[in-house]
Amino acid sequence: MARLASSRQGKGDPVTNETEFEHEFKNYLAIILGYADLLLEEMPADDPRAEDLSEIHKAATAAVVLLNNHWGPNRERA
Amino acid sequence: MSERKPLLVVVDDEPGMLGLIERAVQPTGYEVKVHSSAREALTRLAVEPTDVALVDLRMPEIGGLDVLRAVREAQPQCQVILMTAHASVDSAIEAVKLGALDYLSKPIDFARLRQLLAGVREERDRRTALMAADGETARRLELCGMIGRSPVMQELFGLVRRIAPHARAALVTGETGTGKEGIAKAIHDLGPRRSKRFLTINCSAVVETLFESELFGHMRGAFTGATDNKAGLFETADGGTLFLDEVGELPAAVQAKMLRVLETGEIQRVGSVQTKNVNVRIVAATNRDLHAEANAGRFRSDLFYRLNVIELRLPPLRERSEDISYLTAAFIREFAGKFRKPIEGMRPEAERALMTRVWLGNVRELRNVLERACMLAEGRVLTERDLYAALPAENSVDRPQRRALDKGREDRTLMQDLHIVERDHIVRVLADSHGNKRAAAERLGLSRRTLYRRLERYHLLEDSDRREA
Repeated sequence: MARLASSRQGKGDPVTNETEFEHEFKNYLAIILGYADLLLEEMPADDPRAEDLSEIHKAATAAVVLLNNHWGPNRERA
Repeated sequence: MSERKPLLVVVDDEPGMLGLIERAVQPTGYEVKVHSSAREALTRLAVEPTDVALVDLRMPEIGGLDVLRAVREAQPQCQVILMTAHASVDSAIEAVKLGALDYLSKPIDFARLRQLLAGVREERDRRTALMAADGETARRLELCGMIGRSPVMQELFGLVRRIAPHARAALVTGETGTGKEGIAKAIHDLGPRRSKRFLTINCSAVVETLFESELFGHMRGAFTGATDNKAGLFETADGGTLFLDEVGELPAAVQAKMLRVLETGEIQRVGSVQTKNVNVRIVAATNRDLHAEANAGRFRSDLFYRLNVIELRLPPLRERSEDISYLTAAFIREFAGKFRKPIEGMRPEAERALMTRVWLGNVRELRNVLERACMLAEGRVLTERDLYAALPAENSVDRPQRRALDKGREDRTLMQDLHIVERDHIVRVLADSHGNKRAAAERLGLSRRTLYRRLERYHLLEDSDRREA
């Protein structure tokens, strides 16, 4: 697999192309989703905040699906 | 070793992801180390035994597949799991071909990740159990506490087991520090006399005039100072085993009497006309070539043949270097226990240094060095530094010297021969002086300081000496 030599040098650098963009974007979504997952796991089911968390989780999952549909999950990367 | 938590190293250039995974795997009981730089992670993975590496596929500079390759190379037992935000079929196939355990896509399915980690942990526990079983095997390969997995030692142990029930006399040969007394003790312990006495006399440590009395006893008034009747070692060891260490040092007059005892089984106390029958198994040991000594007329050949009914030759450590790692592990275990330190093992570089060193003092020297290293060590793992602190400055790691040695005795350099001669001579004089270093130094024509330096070089210093010096 080819790797982008010009990968992000520092966090503040502008993202240079679509692939990079997708990668970055999905990473952040994965972090949001992951923490939501962990909190839901730890929270008693009857906790009133669980519902709010589920909303975060749902929205982040939808964003991931959207990304995948837009670029295609198994598309070959340059 | 089995108490150590399994180690998971996580590598991802996104710090937020590292924090998340660290939290997510908490319930698995792994120790977790995270790295946002692959380069940094590789430095760790090159040295620290790791159970699982969880690596992001796409990172700047060094990618996940490169990390995977490097880990397979550096520690094949470490499982690698790749993760990526873009799952591509090609990279997944490539990862599996390179030996990755699995390929997870982000967002990560924590249940799957925990399941994988649990699997690796089970496998590890199974292996640890196997290792313990291996330890059992090792104990079976031991002989009365002596360790030797090498074919030469296994052959020797087999011979000892076979002769122990029968032999009346045996000769143990081998360089200094190879464990001759251990073999003698094993012959005794494995034979029918194990419940009887095992007595040792160091023939180089007895004043010549007292030899007879020591071995055969004396009657009151037999000589000045003989105020009582006294049984000698032969009588005391009756029914048991008498170990004659450094038998090559036996004075000629005593050799003749010894021969008589061996032939007739009769002893005569000094100053007595009566004879007594004794039944003693004789195990003699020497670091000299007794056959050559006999040929040269320095040792009675008839006595030599009496003693040499069976020769047990202990190889020097350089002829069984494959045993060094087992010996090292056993000694570290011993001294970690003795000094109550949590030392678990040794860094590979340190072990390599042990393997390449010339051990003139053989197993005893190795043991002494490891004892000192364990005493000085601060960490859980002995490092090269601990080792060098424990080794004497000169002749530490010397490959050419070792190569010369490997070619055989005759190729040994003059310097090494000199060291051996000097060392043996010092040992002999010290023994003659009953361990009195001032007297020994005087006899050797050395200052006390110089003698201490020599003793240090040859690992002959006891800890009490060090304080004294």
